Amino acid sequence: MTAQPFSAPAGDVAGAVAGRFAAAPTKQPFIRATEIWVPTADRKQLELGAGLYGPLRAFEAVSQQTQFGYDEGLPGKAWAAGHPIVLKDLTNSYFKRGEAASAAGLTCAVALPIFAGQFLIAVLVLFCGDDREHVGAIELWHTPPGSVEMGLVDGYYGTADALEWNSRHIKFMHGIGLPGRVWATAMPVIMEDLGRSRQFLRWADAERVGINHGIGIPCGREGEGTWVLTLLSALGTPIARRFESWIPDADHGGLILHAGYCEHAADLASVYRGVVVPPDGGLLGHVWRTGAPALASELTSEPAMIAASTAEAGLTTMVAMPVIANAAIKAVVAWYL
Amino acid sequence: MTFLELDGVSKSYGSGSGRSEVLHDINLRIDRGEFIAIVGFSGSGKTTLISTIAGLVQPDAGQVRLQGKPVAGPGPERGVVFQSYSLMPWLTVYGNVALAVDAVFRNQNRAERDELTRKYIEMVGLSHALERRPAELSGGMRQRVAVARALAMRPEILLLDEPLSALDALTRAKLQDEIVQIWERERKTVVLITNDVDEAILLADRIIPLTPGPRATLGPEFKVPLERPRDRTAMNHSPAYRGLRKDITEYLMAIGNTRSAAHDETLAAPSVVPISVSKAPPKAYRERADSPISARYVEFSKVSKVFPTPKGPLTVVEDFSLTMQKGEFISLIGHSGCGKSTVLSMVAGLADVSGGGIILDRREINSAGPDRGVVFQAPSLFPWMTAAENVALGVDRVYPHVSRAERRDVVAYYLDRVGLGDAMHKRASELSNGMKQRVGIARAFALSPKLLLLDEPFGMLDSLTRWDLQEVLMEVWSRTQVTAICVTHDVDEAILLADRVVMMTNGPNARIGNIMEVDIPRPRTRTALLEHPDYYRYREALLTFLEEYEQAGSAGGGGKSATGAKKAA
Repeated sequence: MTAQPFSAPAGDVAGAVAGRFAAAPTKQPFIRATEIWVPTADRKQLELGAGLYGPLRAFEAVSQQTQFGYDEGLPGKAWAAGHPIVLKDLTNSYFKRGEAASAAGLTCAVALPIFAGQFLIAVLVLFCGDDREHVGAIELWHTPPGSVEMGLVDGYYGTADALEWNSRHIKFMHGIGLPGRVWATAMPVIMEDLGRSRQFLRWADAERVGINHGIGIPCGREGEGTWVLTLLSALGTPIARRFESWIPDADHGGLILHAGYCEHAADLASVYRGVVVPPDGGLLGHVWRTGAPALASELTSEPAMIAASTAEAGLTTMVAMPVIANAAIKAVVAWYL
Repeated sequence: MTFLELDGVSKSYGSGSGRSEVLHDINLRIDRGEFIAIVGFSGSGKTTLISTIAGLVQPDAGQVRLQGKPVAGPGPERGVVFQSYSLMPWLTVYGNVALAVDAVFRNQNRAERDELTRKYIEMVGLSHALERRPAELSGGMRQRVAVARALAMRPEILLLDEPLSALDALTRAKLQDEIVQIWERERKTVVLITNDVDEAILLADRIIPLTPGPRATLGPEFKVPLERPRDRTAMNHSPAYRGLRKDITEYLMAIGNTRSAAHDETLAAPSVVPISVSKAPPKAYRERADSPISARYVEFSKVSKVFPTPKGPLTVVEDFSLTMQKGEFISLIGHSGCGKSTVLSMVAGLADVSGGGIILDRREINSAGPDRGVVFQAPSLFPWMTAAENVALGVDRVYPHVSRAERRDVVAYYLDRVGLGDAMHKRASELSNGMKQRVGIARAFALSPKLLLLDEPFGMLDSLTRWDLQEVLMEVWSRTQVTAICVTHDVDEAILLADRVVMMTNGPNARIGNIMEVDIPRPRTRTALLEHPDYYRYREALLTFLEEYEQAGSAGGGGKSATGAKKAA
């Protein structure tokens, strides 16, 4: 089938990025705030580029007034470390906005630095909280250079204790399980129906707590082993109701859908069959063009097919980030609520 | 009304000073439709007990009554299934079952007897194998024929004497499920003899231990408070299951300790250092092997094993990569045929590596050698030699630089550590299976190997002897801290022994699925393990993995798994 390019987006990405005062989604989300920290013009500091805060206005206000130096605060630490960081103590640590986070009920943060080679593009920060209410998981897996096993560095699991215990005691081999498959392919991997998926080896725990879909994303600075971030989402308190992975297609000069899962659309592959997102095509195109993550709290200005599909699925927010290897975009990952 | 009663049953064999009382004052009441499990040790008289109920053996004292009438001999109302299938090798599956049906229902016409025969063959899922002879059947299928034959006699009570003990874990699980289904459908009274506590809990209404012989008698009964149907993985979450399992295990261990051989705590380890028979590799080789992997004591790097077959090469193990630290104990777990033992054979140097390589202490493995001690399922001792002579064979070879007395000390030390201090001068042919395996363990440790390899070392032993030997193994290991790999399909054994459990996917093309770290402090004991808050989590993680691959096996292998089929439904 011939791929069809999107029409130009109705609104500019800047508008989407600027539209960071997002309304709270109807379901109680697992991730309560998402931030993108970008280097300042002199590249000495990190400043807030965009954020999705839902009702956490006070925390947002504090964030807007904050900047981080290299190795300072959570975003600065992630910049210095060169790999994602899971921080579960926001009040008695290097975390600078502890008081505001505590007031907002936030208990855990995950910082994901995005590099092009050795150069930082941005730091994506995800916040979780309301631990007793939430089921889901954000996990960080790592294998040092030359190692044959991938183990958990840390993770946040809400109430999914059994899954957490299992993850902390299990090491995955190259190509096995969600982290192992991301490691083997060096590409984002989306898995659905995790409670029944034989390839998701922790299926029994996932089934028990209601986690049913997830994504694994390769990340971290090149040459420092392999890092994989996994987002495991439950229906009740979703991290995302849709995951997508788009890859550049040289033949058509745009992004094509590589993999996807949506709670509402039975088959995303057929929804987006033949669709090509050009470099100027909405948030996805923006991420591909700039190599920087972006988010949007309003999707009507996205390219027509995406706007229509997300509207039909009742999705209102979107986070997109690049997967970069050898200074090139290998994929653009997006998740929606 | 009580269906089966045993009143003060005792039984002795022999005469004069050689007379041995096997059963002593056995009292038991079983109601109609009950499922009773009797758990006990090897040689405790379990088979004598079942034979007494079956009427094959007459008690010296006391009485067995079935529905109030004394049992005077065998009868068709009692169906018996023994561990050995006892099938007629020249008869087909149909013929073996029909033999019993024709004998018991000789008054019925041929069509009726044919219908009965086919009905019970179908019940055990062997309709497709009607015309096969025993030699053409697997162990599990043969045991099914034995079950069908017993059922086809329409007995009032089914007496099962360790019917599943000789089968592999997967087949065993499947037959356990079938036995429960048949029991629920036919509502027979069942007495199951087993040495497997989990099997007893899964199947029975009541569990009654038989104390070790001689003078074996029944211990206190344990009621099983678990709802049916029972799921062996889900049971791990039940506090009632955990409590019952702990109580029974501890009771059996306590009475088992009374029969364990005592060893001399005062004997100290000889202070002699072994040498390797081979010379150290050349400097150039060492430098080549050193590099970044020198800190890794054992390294499997993309190891594969390919066997030639008439249909072309068969890759049994593929891309097996693993690193081990010095002093680490690893359990290798997976289903039958997944290539576990193939991996062990390759690291032992008994089988060639088809691809990749294995490095032990900076040397690539390319042949067998005394730097690797191996314990196989069968101990393979020279039967005409004593235990000490069997151990000394290897010791003399790896410690040629020390005096004969010192070498004798090494042999004595390890035989004593495995509880054979008093039996070291007995010939191997005079030893029980459990004692032989103790010699096998002593022999492997006495070599002071760089790597200890255990291939289902306790697979042929009953659970209780197995527990004993696991403790022995751990005790000796704790003193030597030798790097070790143990192949097993027993999840409890895997957890008890290991720092890490390596789980293998199904073959062909088997590889490591994932690895579980066991953070349970050492020294470990079975009792402490049962009380550890995370024990059942470890157990469930392994069972879930095995169940997953059991399903995979059944999907590809034509309905191998009962639990898999249940889940799929």
